[in-house]
Amino acid sequence: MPEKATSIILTGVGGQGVLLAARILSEAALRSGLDVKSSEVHGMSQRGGSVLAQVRFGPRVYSPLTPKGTGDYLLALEELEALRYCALLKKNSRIMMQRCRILPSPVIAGFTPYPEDSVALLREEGYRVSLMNEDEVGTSGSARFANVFLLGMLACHLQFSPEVWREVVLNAVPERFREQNRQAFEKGRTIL
Amino acid sequence: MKKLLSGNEAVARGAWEAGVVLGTGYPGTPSSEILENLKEYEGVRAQWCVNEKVALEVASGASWAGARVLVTMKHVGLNVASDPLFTLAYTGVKGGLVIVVADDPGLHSSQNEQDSRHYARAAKLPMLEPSDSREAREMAKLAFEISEEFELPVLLRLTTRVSHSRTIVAPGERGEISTPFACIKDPKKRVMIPAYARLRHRVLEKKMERLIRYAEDAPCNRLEEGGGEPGIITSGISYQYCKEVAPDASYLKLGMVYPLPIGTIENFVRSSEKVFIVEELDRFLETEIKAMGMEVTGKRPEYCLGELNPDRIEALLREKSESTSSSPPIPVRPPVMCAGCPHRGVFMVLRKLKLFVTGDIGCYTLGTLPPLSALDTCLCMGAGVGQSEGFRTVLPAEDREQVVAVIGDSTFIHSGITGLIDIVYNGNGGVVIILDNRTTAMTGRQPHPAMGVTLRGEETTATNLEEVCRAVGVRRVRVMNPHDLQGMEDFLKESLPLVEPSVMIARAPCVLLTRGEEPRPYRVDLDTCVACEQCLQTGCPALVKLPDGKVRIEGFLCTGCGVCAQVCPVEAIGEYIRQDEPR
Ligand SMILES: Cc1ncc(C[n+]2csc(CCOP(=O)(O)OP(=O)(O)O)c2C)c(N)n1
Repeated sequence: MPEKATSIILTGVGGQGVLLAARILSEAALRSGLDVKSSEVHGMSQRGGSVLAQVRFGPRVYSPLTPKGTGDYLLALEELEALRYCALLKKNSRIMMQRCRILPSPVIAGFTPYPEDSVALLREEGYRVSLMNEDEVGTSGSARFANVFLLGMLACHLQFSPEVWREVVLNAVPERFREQNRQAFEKGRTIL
Repeated sequence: MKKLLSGNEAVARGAWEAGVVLGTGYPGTPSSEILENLKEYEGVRAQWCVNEKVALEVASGASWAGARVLVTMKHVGLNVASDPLFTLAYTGVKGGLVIVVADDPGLHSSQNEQDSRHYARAAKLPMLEPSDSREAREMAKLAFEISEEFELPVLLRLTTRVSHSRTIVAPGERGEISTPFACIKDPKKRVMIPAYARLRHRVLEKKMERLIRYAEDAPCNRLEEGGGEPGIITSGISYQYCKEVAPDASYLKLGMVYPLPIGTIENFVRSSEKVFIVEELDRFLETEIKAMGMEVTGKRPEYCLGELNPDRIEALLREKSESTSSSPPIPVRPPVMCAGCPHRGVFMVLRKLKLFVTGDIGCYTLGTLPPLSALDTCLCMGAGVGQSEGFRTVLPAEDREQVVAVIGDSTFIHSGITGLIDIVYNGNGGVVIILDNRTTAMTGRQPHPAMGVTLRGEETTATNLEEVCRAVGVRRVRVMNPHDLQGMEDFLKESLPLVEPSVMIARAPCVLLTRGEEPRPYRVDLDTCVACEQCLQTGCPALVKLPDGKVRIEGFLCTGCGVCAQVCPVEAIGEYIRQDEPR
């Protein structure tokens, strides 16, 4: 049987750049000579809905969807969304998460509370959590580059070469934001 | 060079390589990106049409002139296009005509999860179904060949997971196009009066027989003898999920899901001890194969609902019912109308007047969710207008006044105009509100005929909505600003009791179109705020409730539409004036 695919889950809220991060990651896998499949749910993402993307790569990939409990890494731009999709991961796997809470409408309306301490909840479930704090990106408007920062954090755990990463990140972002994205990625790489 | 393409991008690529010169369609998730991609290629005209029926009719004309044409739509779009579809099977086509129909199992963004494979059987047309982007490109090309060989339209069925997954594709070059195209008279084939149609029906049945033979060797049907058990007959995305969870099984992977290769299936079933049919949504293949008299194992009823995935297929193959997970509930994150959405003001007024609102499909369908809770029906595109007439026709006179219809601008053009004519014709009164946000917002802001631009960005004559309404016989037509709550309330109160119909066009651009323009955010004066929460009833995501019940406005989200300020009873909300800005 061929080597298993690596599965990466990316999540957040519409507008946070989840889909862009998934595309950069898929491109990096393609350029590293691997088979790749990625899946994204567009739907109503622009209206502040939850966004889920999955990227799977390896010698041969069949399903674009990750079977439950087999995912390897989760990149989360929002805490509640990390809780929502963490069950896709293997136990003990790593979650890279931005410290960010965006209240969904049922919470704003007071129907249900937002979980108090999401990091503790995730750790209780047996996941290893690495955090990106809001001021960590170090460039102005840090939240805008958080997606690329998280990719930098992920890059430490994957085998893709630095040249491939540089190329795919810079190709995917608009010219005028290249420098900030480069910095965000490099900063992310320093966090283990 | 190999590329990562979505299924939709791959279909556009395949169609272009096949020499398509025209692409028509109407937007609808998950199909919309096909034409949006096709328009980028040289030598093709890609265009949005008024609706799916018109798109197919335009395509049939071009095909009869000899050109290869692609038509795209979501699953429910094929319902709209089904009238030309069924008879086009009789007439047949000349230039290859491929209809892409994108199903949405799991209802990611749809009002039902119908299985459009039934259309292939009902209309007697071949249907292909790819399982990833590589196959999507190949099958788009193959579909054009089949279409011309059999002189039939070919259906290419996608599902959300194929349309919106990216997989590796090796693109090719564009093939030769055999021009010139011409008008060639052939009424016996193209004028479906009964005498000719009877003959064409016979021709169609003959084509079907030939197609069944073709299916036996079709390059898109594939036997994968893993040597193992069980045997699995599957198609589309289900194939990929099966391979994930049962890599050692033997497969009959069907790329052509209608008609089916009887001989191939018979051999496969005979060679395996147990054969499963794995398919998303309805038991389409199962029914067909069982009707051939073969013994195969299908699925439990719960697997006819929603999307499949590797986990569900694992349980399906073990013939188990699904385990319901017991994970703790996580607050849902439903989509919401954007801050500043012009639909919000209209729903605030409808809610205040406690009206019964026959609705329609678009971003404004979100008006049904709390706290707005002001939209009472949503059936299919265009339905709300006719529904309001139906309610008003049978309700006692004193109750009629509470019924009002709302419909988006794109939806009005798609299929609301006919309903409005019916209201006028049958002497029904009432108010139809056209939510004119100058775009087809829901599906990704595609242009439509009232905007005066085409898919390719060319300027064109804009259909004038107020003139259309007047031309069909509505005398009371008023264009209003949807951020003016009092104005709209007054107009509705005045119009609802009248015996003649009225149209209110609530016109302001979708905020996603004006994003980037300098917003003028509002602010709450916390000393004046009495924590009454009236403003929160707008459901605007820019409003944040503070621990003491008072409200703060998220400045970077607020567009300054002013709706919350108009509902504030103590005038605590006003325009925020920057310090550095002389005013
Ligand atoms: C027959 C059919 N075709 C396409 C769709 C997909 N669809 C849903 S709503 C909509 C149009 C929405 O535009 P509009 O009426 O202008 O409302 P908006 O979203 O801009 O508020 C479309 C294309 C559908 N549901 N049914």
